[in-house]
Amino acid sequence: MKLLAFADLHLDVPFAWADHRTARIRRANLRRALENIVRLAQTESVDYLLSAGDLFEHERIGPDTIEFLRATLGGSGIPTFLAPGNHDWFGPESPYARSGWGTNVRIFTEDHLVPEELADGVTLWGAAHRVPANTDDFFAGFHVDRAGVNLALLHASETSALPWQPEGKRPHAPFDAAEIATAGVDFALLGHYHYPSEGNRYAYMGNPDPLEFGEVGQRGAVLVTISGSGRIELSRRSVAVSRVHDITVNLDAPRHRDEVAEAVRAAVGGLDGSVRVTLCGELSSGVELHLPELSEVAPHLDALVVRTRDLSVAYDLDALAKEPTVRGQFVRDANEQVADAATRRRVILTGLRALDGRRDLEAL
Amino acid sequence: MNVLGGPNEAGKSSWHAAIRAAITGVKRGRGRPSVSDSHFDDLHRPWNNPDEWKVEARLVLDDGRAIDMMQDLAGKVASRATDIALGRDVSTEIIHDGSPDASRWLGLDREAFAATICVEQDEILAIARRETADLLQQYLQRAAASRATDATAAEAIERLDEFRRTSVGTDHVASKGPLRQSRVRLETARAQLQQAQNQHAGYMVLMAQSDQARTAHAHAANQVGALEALLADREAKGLRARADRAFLLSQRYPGPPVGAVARSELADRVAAAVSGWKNRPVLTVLTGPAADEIDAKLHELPTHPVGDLRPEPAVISDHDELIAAEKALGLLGERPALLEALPSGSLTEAEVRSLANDLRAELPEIGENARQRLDLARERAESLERRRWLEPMGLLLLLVVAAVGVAIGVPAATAFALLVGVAVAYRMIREGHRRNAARHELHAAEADVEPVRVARSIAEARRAEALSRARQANLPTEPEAVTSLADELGDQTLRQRAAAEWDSRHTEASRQCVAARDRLRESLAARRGVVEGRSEEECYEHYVADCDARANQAVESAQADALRAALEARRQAEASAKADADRLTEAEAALRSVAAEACGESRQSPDELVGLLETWQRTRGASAAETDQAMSDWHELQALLEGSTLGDLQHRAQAAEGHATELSVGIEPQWPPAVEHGSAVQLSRLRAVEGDLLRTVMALETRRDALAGAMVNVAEAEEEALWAELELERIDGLATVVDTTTRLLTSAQERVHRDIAPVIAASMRSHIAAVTEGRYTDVAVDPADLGIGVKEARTGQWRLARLLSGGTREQIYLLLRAVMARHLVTTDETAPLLLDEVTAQSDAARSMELMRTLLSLSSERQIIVFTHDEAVVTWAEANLAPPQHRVFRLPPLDDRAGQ
Repeated sequence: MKLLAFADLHLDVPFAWADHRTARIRRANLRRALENIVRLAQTESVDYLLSAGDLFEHERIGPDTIEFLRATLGGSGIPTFLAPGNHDWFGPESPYARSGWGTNVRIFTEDHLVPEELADGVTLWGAAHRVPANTDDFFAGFHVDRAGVNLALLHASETSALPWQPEGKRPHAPFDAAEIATAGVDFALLGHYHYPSEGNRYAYMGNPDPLEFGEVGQRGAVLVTISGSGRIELSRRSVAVSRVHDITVNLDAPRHRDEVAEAVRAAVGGLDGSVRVTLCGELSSGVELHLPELSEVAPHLDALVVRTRDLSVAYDLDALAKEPTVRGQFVRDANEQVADAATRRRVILTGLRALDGRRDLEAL
Repeated sequence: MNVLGGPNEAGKSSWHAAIRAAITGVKRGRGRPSVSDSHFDDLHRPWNNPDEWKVEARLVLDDGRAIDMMQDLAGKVASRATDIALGRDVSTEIIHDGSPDASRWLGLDREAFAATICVEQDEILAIARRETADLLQQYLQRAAASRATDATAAEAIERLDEFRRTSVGTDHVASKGPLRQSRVRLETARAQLQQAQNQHAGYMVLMAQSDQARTAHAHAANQVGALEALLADREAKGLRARADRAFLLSQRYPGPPVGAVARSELADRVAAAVSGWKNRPVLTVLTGPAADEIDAKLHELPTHPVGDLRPEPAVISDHDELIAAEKALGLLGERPALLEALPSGSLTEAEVRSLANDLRAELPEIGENARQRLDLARERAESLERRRWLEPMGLLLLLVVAAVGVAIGVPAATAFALLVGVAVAYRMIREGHRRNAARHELHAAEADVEPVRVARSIAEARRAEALSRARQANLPTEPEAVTSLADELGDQTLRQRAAAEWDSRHTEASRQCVAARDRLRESLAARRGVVEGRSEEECYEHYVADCDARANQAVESAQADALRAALEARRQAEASAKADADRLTEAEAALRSVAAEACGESRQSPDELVGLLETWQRTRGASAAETDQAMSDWHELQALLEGSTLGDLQHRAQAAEGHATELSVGIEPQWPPAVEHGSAVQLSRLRAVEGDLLRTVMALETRRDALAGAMVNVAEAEEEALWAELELERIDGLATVVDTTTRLLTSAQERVHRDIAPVIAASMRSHIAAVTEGRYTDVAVDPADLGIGVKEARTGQWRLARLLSGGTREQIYLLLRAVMARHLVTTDETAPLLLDEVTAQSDAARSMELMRTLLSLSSERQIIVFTHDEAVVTWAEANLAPPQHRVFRLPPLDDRAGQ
């Protein structure tokens, strides 16, 4: 038996870093990723297609996306199981509660694990988040009631992996990995953590199409093969449409902004899709750096986001602080009176630029 | 002091540049060189061998070290500084921007060195010009600010203020600045996000409601279909039973029964009447609206409308854009009003404000204690001075007495006179000490008040000069009035800037409005929504109202199909009921007729009459019974056929069975228990319910689809709100940074000026008399703006240095250079001064004065002067003696080429 599982597509998610055009492209790419998943399922002739939650964002999903989902999944003809997560939680007003999904689409709507027999001796247990937060452990007090291969399809948080998740990630439906075996489940296909990972009895598929810069790991869909003996094998497949790159450009004291632009241009020249460039290193004191302008140096990209991190400016602050001048006094006062390091750095740069007679006083 | 003289084209400027380059080197780094480096390269790189461009110099530091500097100006990689005694490369001590920079030993860098140590010809020229006299003060301010020539601290603060006005602005409601605008943008974005979320929540509810209504309608439609199928099946079965019975009777009686002629005609009628009554139809009571009522209602329904049922999304979008554009235009508010022309002449705000400050210059007063001490000291000194002749006169008198005593031979008188004389002499000496003490006390008291007098004199001079300037410019002379004028000028400038910005924004916003209006009109025209003579907004409202009306009309017209079906069913039910009633009436009339004839009774109930007639039949005998049965069957057959043929009846039964089969398709086998015993009445009621549900579904779906077309994308609204939030955060942070910077810079300026003013004054004081040949004897520096005052020896009056003659300003400027060079150097080293053609624009007398100034300054630092002026070289040869001083004559380049 072959199953294709995915999770955390997050259709209609906002992209806060992008402009309207880019954000629309990225949201369209999420749809294309789902189409890739369906095509992959057809190519691999899988028996079932499984979604482990956060297929879309309940608070944001638009009518067009609902129709797209129903047409794509219902029209595929592939038997499909959907387990709602915390972002696409099941409720009376949920798109999941609407008709028109197609007879091949089965949605888990209970807040506890319920069985669906996939084949003789193979059972899929699934459950739904019915509220957007505070969903309890699905495995607590649960045990399968039958023999054979028992799989679970869930949106839940394996607690030992929480510290490695991005800041702000909340532990919805938390559970301990050991509970899977205790519950008699042979393998759990999970959503919620976007970072792809695997344990002895579980796998997080990860978001199929990039949602953030800096994502690593082989994310996408997971092809699950169950042999006649009950042996389970996983194979990860990429289905992403968006190309996202997160690179660092180390500046070696360029003396004017064209050199900075050239350095950025050279770094992103061979890339495509969306790129985030982090500028670090040292900048000559005379450079007038304007990040929005830098974002336009690579028109072949869908988007170019430029930011700075620990970018120092080539002022010899120790020497300046010794000067018996207003400038020296200013640097000394700033060092003494401005406690926050980032603010102090900006204050000093702003003051020095003003004393240099410059008009670009906004220090980054 | 070193003087290097030579004619033009002797390479003096190259020497000057070479010394500077040898000391500081040039910046080494990747990328394009700076403007000043490019300029240096263009001027001084050798033409014939550009890759061999080096310069060397030997420096002697105050600690005695001798350093060989070698600067590789072409490759910039082989530059080094070598300690001659140790033979060691000491470049690492002074590396700056990739090259050894010996000015680091002074605590400077190559930029500060160029601004402090090197004096160019054009700087002196600028200082000497009357219209640029303020440069003297600005130089001092700039040097105090950053040791460079970029900006004074005051200019930096002004630049920060300007930057804050344009990049942050105020947070007043009426403000058009970025801070306020970003706050407005955030509020607008949050409101739009809230609206989008509300719309989205409303849409989800409507979607659920319409879905539920659609499900309920499907359920009702299924019930209607099931009941229709049930009734059709029932009718088909009845017809089939009739047809089967008719077929059986027709087989038995192909024609009228034999013996019918002999049969009693009365018995026939009795049999027919009894059979007719027993097979009478069951009457149905119809409820609900009659066919005529339904027909009337059907005629009242409107037709399906032509046109949009809900506003086209493109039209809504264009309207939204017009609203947004008009809102943006409205946010601009009124154009900032300008003030009437101000009587400031050609003076700028800064100049008028400077004038006001000068007019307002406070006159320092001598303290009461100091004044009393001075008066007492003066009185005491004068008193002692007045009595200083008494003792000498007494002593002289005693000497005369003593001489007379000796002459007349009276030794006692002589001895007495000598004794008294000794006493007087002792007193005279003591009085002398007292007078000296009084004079010292007077000097000390005068020294105490002298700085105040100096400051007062400078302030008076500033005020007098300011009065003169104000009168020349036809301005008021009261400081408050001038300050007010400066404020008005500042206000006017801000207003003009705001008005220009308003004009620009207004033009752009108006253009956006017109474009949005055109787009809306076009999209309305495409949807036939334009009404001639009405504005786009009116047309849009009219179009939306029309859409609503059409949507309502569509909902109403959609009822027609359901009503037509109901009408047809009602008509069939009414016709069937009427036929049944007619047949019942006929059967009862026939029964009563034959009962009256056969039994003489007709008023009893039909069932009682049937009993009487059946009794009558039984009494007629067995023979007649067969005939009667045959006749009864025959009449039953005729009743079953109802005037038609057996084939017609069988065909009708077959058609009814087909119809029932057709209606039963899709009906669940067990469906639905509620309609098992249904009737036409129940069917009519169910159809009404189904029609109501269909209307509900259509109304909900119309609202849902209309909302879907007008919904703002929640994700995009969130993105807009996030961007607005980030922009406000950026501007808030920028305001904090700029405000902190301005505060710290202002504080630093005040502190440094306060510290540096007495240092500069003290340093210049020791040279001022020498460099001005005694015309000025003292120097004072105002901590407020580093304005320099000098005391005129002849009058004792204080003069503002910037108002002195060009030549004197040159001298004071060179003196300042030397003083600042000493002050700004942060190590124990002594900085030299490199001067290029500083006398180029001076006449002979001023040139000599400058050279005397430099000679005076050379007592404490090395001075290197490049000049083409033969008179200067001659003066140097006459006045500068080696080894302390050196004079070099540079031959023309052509001569050296010949050598």
